[in-house]
Amino acid sequence: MQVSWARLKNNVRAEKQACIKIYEIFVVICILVVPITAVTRDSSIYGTQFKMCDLPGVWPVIFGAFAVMTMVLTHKLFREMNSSTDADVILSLPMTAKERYFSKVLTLARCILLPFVISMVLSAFASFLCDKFIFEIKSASFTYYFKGLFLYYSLGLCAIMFSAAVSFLCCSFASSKSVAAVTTLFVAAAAGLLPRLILEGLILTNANICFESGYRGYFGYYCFGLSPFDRLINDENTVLLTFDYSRLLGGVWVNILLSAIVLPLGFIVYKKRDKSTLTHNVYAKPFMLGVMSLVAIFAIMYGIEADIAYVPYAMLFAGCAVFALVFKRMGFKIKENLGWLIGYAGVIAGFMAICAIAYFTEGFGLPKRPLDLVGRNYCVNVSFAQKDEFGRPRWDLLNIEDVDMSELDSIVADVSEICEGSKNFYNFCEYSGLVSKESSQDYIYVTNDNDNLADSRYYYNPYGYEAIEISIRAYYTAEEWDKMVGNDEDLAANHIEFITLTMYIKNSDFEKIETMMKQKHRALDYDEYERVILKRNNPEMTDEEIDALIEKIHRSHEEEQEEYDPEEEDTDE
Amino acid sequence: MIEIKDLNLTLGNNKVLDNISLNVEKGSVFGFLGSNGAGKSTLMRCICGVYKPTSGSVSIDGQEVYDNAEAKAKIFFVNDETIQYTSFTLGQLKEYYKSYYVDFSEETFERLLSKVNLPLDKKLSSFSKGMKRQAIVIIALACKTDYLMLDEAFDGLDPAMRMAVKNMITDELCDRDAAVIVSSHNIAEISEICDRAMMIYGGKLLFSDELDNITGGFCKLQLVFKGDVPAESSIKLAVPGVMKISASGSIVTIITADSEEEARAQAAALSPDMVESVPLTLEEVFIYEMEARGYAGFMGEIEE
Repeated sequence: MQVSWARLKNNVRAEKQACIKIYEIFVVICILVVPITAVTRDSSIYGTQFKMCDLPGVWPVIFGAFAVMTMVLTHKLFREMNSSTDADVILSLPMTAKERYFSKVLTLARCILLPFVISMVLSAFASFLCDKFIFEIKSASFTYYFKGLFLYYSLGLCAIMFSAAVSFLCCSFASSKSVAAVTTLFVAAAAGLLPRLILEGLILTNANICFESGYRGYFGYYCFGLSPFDRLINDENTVLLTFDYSRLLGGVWVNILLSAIVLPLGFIVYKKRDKSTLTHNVYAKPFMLGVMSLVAIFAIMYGIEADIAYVPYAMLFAGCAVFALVFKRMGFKIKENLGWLIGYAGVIAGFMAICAIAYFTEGFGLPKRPLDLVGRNYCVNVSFAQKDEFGRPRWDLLNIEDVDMSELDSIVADVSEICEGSKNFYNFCEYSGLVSKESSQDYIYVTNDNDNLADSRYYYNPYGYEAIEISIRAYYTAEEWDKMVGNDEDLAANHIEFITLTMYIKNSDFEKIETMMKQKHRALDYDEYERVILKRNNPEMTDEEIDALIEKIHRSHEEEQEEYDPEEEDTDE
Repeated sequence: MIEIKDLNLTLGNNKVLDNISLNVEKGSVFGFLGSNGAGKSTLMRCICGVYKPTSGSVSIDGQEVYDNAEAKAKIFFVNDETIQYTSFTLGQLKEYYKSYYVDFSEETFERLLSKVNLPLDKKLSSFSKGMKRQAIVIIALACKTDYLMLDEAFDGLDPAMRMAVKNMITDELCDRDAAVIVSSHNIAEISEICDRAMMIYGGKLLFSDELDNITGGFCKLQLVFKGDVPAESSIKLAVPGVMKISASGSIVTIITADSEEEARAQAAALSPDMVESVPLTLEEVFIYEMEARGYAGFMGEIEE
């Protein structure tokens, strides 16, 4: 059946009228965003770091509003799929299924995307004019504002497209408002966060690579689901753009493109649905199986991350309980739905098999170290977090500077050799469940500064094991950095890189590692390292002056330590 | 012409329409009769493409209706609900439908609106049920489709307004060669405005014909006896085609599916003093057909 553009256009006009309230609310949100972006400061946006007002966390709220309004609009657009009276009216109108479905896509573009794009352009102008005439910032050009805002608006578009893709899919399958709403939320959460959880839980953790730092530089990290938002929320105070603007932006646009590809997929089901499927929906069971399986996999992955070893069993139990309580009350009989139950169990078992493969192949054998992310020279830190004989946290550190690529491989290989065999206890949740290891909530290293790399959560050891971490980063002295990068954030984006590889080990002999590192790889312990750094940064100082400076720094650290008594603070709390 | 051929529709395990074949000619006013849940509304929804037939076909002027915008553009369906679009004003509702029906006539809309005096700028949620009905009927007529289907369209209207709306429909449609399909539980109303009717029960088509032929297919005789009236078994023996027997004093009324001559000849065997033929109404046909099929709810009403 031929698609008539005239009918599509008419239907978009009519649907806009039917959704006029939602459209008006969205337009108000878009209008509000313009002054907010003009007067607020976000250190991660190019050129806007000089603003007077600071409203941290405003972007996630805006993205949330965009996503929610998109979902609400989509659910309204698909009202004929869950309301008998609306089905009578809409399905009898002179439109083909294809025209109905794709006019919904166009209505989404008209009611959501158009105000959104206008808002972006106005925001960039408003921000630029505001700085020029109110804050009187002369240096920043319009390009800076546009570039900075473009990333955030790309993320906004990403939120809109992702929520639209999920909503279109769920609304095409569901035959009641409540099912459509609930499944949309569950699918959005599960499908949105799964890529990140799988990357971390199945690949990086099994490969013994710390997720928290270097891997975020991966382009693929931003390409799926809600991962870019996770980055934004977790790193709202870091200079995001100076790290990987192009990677993030490229990934986000791939993300948008993937959502755009998913958006029309609902048509495959939609075209087969008439009013009879409101009461006798043949797609309900496979759809619910898909949703429940997706949520179950999400819960398993979340369980892996949170070290809840019994999640797979819990999911199987929960699935059966849902079936028994909900579906049975709706008149389904277990015998008639044995296939459904077997399917659900099969999906869980299949996914557990994938977990096992990831575990035993150490992250599917991929990727061992993201060395390609690091710049030309390397600085390697080997840090070892453990408890001393009194049970107090202890942290040893070795530092090797100016490491060559060939030596880097050798360092990692040497550490791996000493720690060989120490891996077979963590990650594979089924395995953890079987061995019934209890999770420890103790932090073995505590810090109260704001240094992300020194944050205690990086040294969280799940089962009372010790952690050894090899941090690999581009090495530059302060002078080198200034000379090379200066104040050019674009240039900085190409140079600041670091990767952390963390191994959880038991009874490892750090002294052995230390000796080997010092012999083979010029490793320095913390005091020696401090001396080298100071000397390198202050070539005019004599050895005595350096010693005095170190002494002074140590005293200052001790005083700080005395001022901060964690136990006292805990008691006060 | 709307052409329905061997139409079957199964919902879940229920066969709701069973092998229905029917033609609705242009220029006719067609009444759909049937008890509650008989399948009238479902059939209407099949005709306008809301349901996809399980088998068989529904076509309008030779074009299959389901998922065919051109065919659907020739038909307007007014369903039995008034709850949709309550957030619209009448003006907005007009614009909404105007987007879909290219032949929408502003002139017709304005003319009909002036007859019923509905406010254009008030939301339909503030309208009474009758006002909503009027509103949608006006819009349906203004869309100028070749076929108009009204499912329980006169429900909620007071007698004066019923008449006004009926006149509105007949006046508008007699000017052009359009067809109207009406379903209603008020059979007197159907017989008043329709020239053809069909009856459906349990998803099966019982009959479909011109009204005169439908009522003419049955014969109602009143037999007057001087002495005792014959027993029911004797009447059934004498008149094998009898569908309904009722007695009141010395008068026995029988309804048969035979012709009047045959029925009179058969009834003569009972030796009545007088035999009189009484015209049958569509309502009586409906009641007797329902009764013959043991439609319990309807039986109760008859007894009362």
